[in-house]
Amino acid sequence: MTWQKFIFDFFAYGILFYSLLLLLFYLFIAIYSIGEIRKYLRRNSFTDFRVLAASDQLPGISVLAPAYNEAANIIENVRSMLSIHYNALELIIINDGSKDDSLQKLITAYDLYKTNVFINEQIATKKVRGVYKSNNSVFHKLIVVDKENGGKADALNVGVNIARHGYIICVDVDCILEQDALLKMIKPFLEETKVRVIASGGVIRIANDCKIENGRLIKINLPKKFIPRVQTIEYIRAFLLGRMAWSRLNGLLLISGAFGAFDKDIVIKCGGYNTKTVGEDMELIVRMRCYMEENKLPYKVTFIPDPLCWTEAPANYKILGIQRNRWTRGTMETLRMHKKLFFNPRYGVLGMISYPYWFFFEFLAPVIEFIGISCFLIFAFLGLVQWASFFTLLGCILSFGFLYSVFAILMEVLTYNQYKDQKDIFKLILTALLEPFAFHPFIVWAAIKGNIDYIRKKNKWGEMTRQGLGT
Amino acid sequence: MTILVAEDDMIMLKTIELRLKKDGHTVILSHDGREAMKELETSSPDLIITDIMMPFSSGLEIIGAVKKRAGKKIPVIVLSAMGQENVVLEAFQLGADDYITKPFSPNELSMRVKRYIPFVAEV
Amino acid sequence: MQGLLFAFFLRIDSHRLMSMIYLCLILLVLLSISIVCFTMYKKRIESNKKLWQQSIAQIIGQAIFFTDEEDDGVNITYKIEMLLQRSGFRNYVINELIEAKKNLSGLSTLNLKKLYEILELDKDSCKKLNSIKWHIKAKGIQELAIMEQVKHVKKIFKLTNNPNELVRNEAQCALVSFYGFSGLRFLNVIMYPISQWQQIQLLNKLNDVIPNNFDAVKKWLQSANESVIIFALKLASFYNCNDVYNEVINCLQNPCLRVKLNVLQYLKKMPQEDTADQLIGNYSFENKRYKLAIIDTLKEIGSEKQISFLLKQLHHKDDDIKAAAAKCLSHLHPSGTAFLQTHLFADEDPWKAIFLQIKNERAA
Repeated sequence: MTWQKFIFDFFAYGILFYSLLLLLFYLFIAIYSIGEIRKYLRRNSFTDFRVLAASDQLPGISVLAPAYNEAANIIENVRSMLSIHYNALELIIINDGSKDDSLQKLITAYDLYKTNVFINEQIATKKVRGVYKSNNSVFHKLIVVDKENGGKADALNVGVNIARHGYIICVDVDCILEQDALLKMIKPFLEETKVRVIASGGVIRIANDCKIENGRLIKINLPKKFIPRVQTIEYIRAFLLGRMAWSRLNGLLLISGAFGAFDKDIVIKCGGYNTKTVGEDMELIVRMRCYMEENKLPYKVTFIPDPLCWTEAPANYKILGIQRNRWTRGTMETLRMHKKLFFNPRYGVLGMISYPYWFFFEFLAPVIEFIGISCFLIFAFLGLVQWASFFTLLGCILSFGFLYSVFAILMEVLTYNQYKDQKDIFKLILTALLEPFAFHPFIVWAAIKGNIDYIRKKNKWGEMTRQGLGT
Repeated sequence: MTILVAEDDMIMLKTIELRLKKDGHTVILSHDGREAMKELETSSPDLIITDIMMPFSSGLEIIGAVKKRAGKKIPVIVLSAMGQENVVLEAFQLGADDYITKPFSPNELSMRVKRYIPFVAEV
Repeated sequence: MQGLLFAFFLRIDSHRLMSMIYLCLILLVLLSISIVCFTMYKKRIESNKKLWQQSIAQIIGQAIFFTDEEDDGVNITYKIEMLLQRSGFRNYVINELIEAKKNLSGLSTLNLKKLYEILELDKDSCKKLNSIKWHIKAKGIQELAIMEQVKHVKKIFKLTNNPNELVRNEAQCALVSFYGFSGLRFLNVIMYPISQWQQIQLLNKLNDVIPNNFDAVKKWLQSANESVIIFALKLASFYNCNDVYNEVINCLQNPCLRVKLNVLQYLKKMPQEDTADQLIGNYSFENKRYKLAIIDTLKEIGSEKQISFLLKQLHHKDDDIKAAAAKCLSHLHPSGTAFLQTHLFADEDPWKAIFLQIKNERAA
């Protein structure tokens, strides 16, 4: 046994074992999600949401939408959010110290006046400069808060402090919500009788190249460009399969910051969003779960598979890279802040499955992949690789990955079937085939850069310049 | 009388159409808020009957748009499942002329429409 | 150096790997075929629906307006007759009828019911009712309920205690659709909790029903099932019934927060002379939301007698309670908001900010 062989075997076995486990997890997620989606669809197939929209018994919801330099579309976006079908609604737009004229635009468009409001600062935040309400009673649901710049988490905390209702829904201001989105989001909170639902997540769909008028989605199209189209598949896989399976296990760790509903009491008890991380959406859920586990309160985090929220995805590698870099850092920070959970039986599913899964397969996957490829290149250079075995192994992995994507597409067709044209489905499948070669390496690289930046403590928010939705 | 009906439920639309035609009105149909808005750009009906919860544009927006329009005043009857006081008030504040909550009786609708005939004839 | 040695231990050799690839490929082909099939299938359903929509709208539209003079006004063409053989079409007709029935009132709904029976669609719904699959069963119940097929009530009543939540919920809704308030008698025997969502649905169905006596509510207020108590409280405030006041007050002793909050909702609407004192007596229950709700209720029903209690709350350690108490005081104190200015801490935060907001709100 030479040292060479030892190192070689260590890597080869390690990586093999790791990959096998990963494949098994994916297989499990795919199969396990089916039942949950089917159950959801059956349960809701004959609920009449419209009749319920007319009920005055529904609990109040405060929608929190932080805005930073969104002047381009803010008027349309607010108008579209105000027309959502929900009666007891309060829409809080938080202007996070924008450098553009967002606030002025809002004041003119909605005839706002500054009002004195006492804010009980249950969560400490940056200073609030003013709270605005509309003179026009048609916009009585609207509240605009102007505050000093403090980042998204801080803006959301201000929203939580001001919100009057017991449930809060956090959205990105540039998201396009379906008009019955809130009715569907609030349902799981009201349906559960045995445990307390502390949060509920929603699906994010990609709106690139969709037809949008006045802040409303008119026609759904498949993105024309390659990068958003791959993300369409990525999102279908993550939301329709991944999140559904995790919510069935009650092990969901991440609710996208772009669209999620929370029980306000618990959010406040946990201290609100953490302003010290760039992954504040995931961190909050983990902290809320910890709180419930530590206090031995039965709880649940649910997930709604309906396509309710549409957003623009990065359309070029530069912005995509910044986004993924931030996601990686967010994950790392969250995992580090809650490292006590790691295989801690006190925290049940959270500690024994969710956390380790995120650690090994979300955080470590790109790292291991990167190391694996590097090692492979070294071995190849040293002439240690049996090419025949290598290609069969590679073939195995690639065909499995492709299979998983195609399965996700099938589930999409079976459930919501958003892309009705057969040509579109064909294009999606083709994109899935290209993904491992043209897209995946970049994602791994962006994640590695995230790791490096994390280590260098570059904690700044990657600024995401958007191309702007519609006209 | 020419009446524009905006309603996303096909059966309801047909029902309203049949009932109004029986009374001798001309009926323009639109299946959602956007269609109704487009229709309003080209034609000028004597009366509008609109739902509130519709895809793309809510009925409240239609009322707003109609009332802002220059030229002849078009009365608007709202026909909606939303019966909450604040929604009704909002609709009237925007300028709605009548409000009927679903479930509704087509015969009642017909009678209410009839009240606007003299008004239209005057113009 | 033998290359990938590990393969030996795990009994993975190229041959096995190849068969795994083949397996994946076969599955891929299968999945692709099913994708194609399903997209085609869904497309066909869509286009069918478009085809059907017109003819159904025609039939239903006609049916709504038939009067007794023109007996059996529906003329079912041969084409539709043929379509009616297909279960897909029949299902579609049922769904459209249900939609129409929900949206209409008066004479026309009787005609819709008649059409449903003429087309013998009740048989389809019955078949669903007897299905062993829960979602089909629930759908069947819903159809029969909306179409007022009261003759099936016995079967449906038994299902109000079904272990499956959806079946149970639909059965409960069905009973209320059939019998209005007296349909709620399932509350006497129900063993499962009623979710908030279901309570909202039930209340929605009770909207235009007026019960003749509230003895049943009294009984439900003492139920062992917590959700029944909550629902009974909602009913009591929904119907403004004041003869259950004593039972409601007793519910203040219930340790469950949701029960207590619903009691407050009722008391806000139906207060009696001793209500305010009762509430202050119950104020020690340690929950902020409850305390806030009590102060909020006092705002509506209190009098000058509660001012000393509220002044104490103005110095509670929690700012939300301070704010609520201040607001309440501005309503109950004879000098209104002006009173706040005379307060000792009127120039100190947080009172200053709180008082300013109240002044603003009251002015608006």
